[in-house]
Amino acid sequence: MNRWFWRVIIAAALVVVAVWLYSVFFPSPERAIRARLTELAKSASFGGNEPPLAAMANAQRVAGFFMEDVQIQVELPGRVGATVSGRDEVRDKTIALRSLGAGLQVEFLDINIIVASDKNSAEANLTLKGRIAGEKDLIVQELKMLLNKIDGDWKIKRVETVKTLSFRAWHEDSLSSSGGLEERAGERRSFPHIPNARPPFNNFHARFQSIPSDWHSG
Amino acid sequence: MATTTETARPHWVRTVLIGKRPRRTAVRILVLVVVCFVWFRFVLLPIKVQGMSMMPTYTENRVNFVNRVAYLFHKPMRGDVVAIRTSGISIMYMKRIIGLPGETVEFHAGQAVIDGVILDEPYLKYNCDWELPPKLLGADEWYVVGDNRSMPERDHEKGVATRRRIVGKVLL
Repeated sequence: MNRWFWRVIIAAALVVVAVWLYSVFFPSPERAIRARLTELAKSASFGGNEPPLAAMANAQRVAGFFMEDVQIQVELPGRVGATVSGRDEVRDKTIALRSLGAGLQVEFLDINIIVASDKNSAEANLTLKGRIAGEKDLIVQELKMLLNKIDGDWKIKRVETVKTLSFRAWHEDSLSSSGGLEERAGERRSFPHIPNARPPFNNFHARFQSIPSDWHSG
Repeated sequence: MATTTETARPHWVRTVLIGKRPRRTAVRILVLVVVCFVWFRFVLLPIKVQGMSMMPTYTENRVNFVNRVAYLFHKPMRGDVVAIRTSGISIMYMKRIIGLPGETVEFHAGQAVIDGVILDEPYLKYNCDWELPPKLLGADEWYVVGDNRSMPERDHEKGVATRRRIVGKVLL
């Protein structure tokens, strides 16, 4: 009895380890995208006075997260809105940003992912949290990203601003209700969440963070 | 006999730290942790205010709580200060509800006008000169705005929040 008990325990432990190893080596699309976005946030962060060569190398690395024909249209609170077309422009703007000198810490919080039925495209809704060195105010903006799987890697095809207080909730207009990403991409609707895009707004609005998150951010 | 009694008695430090019955103490701690987790995650969410759009009602760095069960039995009401989620609850907006579903909201000479009637807002301490055209709210739309309207209108984040975006009512 005792011997069988331990055999069952060991078998259960082996199953758990096997499942864990499988999830590590063959991650689900959600998990792979989450890891990819976390990696992007890490690559996009930089300290002040980054050497020019390092800045160029890191900018190239950041550009590698995007598709060749990426479209980025974001309005960051209190900043100038940015429209970027193509991976080369992403790289150039990243180099320009990094050469400004001030450090930047980027985090993607509350990442929600919907993967299309073909498992080759996905939509991610997240909150960008940025902190520029020496500035008191945080940059906070909800974003939506469309990703495609290219040669086994998830790459960002489109980034757009989600106006939290002006438009429909993300899930009401997401993949699950619109019949798949390809269909929506085929509609050629550019940035459906910002039909009344207005000049960049300031971040004077009261934001408040849940305390646990603040602790995480250190 | 007296010696035996003394050796069986736990040290006072141990008694203070884990009590006379460690197993019972462990169970108590476990229950307390679970209760705290559930309470502070699903009932009263602790928050820290950042930004100035709710000044002077709520000042920066003030700690507060969001009552997530406040709207279980009734809908959000005018005057409530609510937490509005972004893509999650790590960062939320803190705003006051001034317009209810089905109402028309506009700003004229800095005053909020609801269905053509000027809204009395005793919590406002700063004057403003906002002019915003009328906006008809849908069946599931609440109009939210901060208390600090001394800044230019375009710099103040405000607008429509659906019910699923409203996480709860700010407690204090």
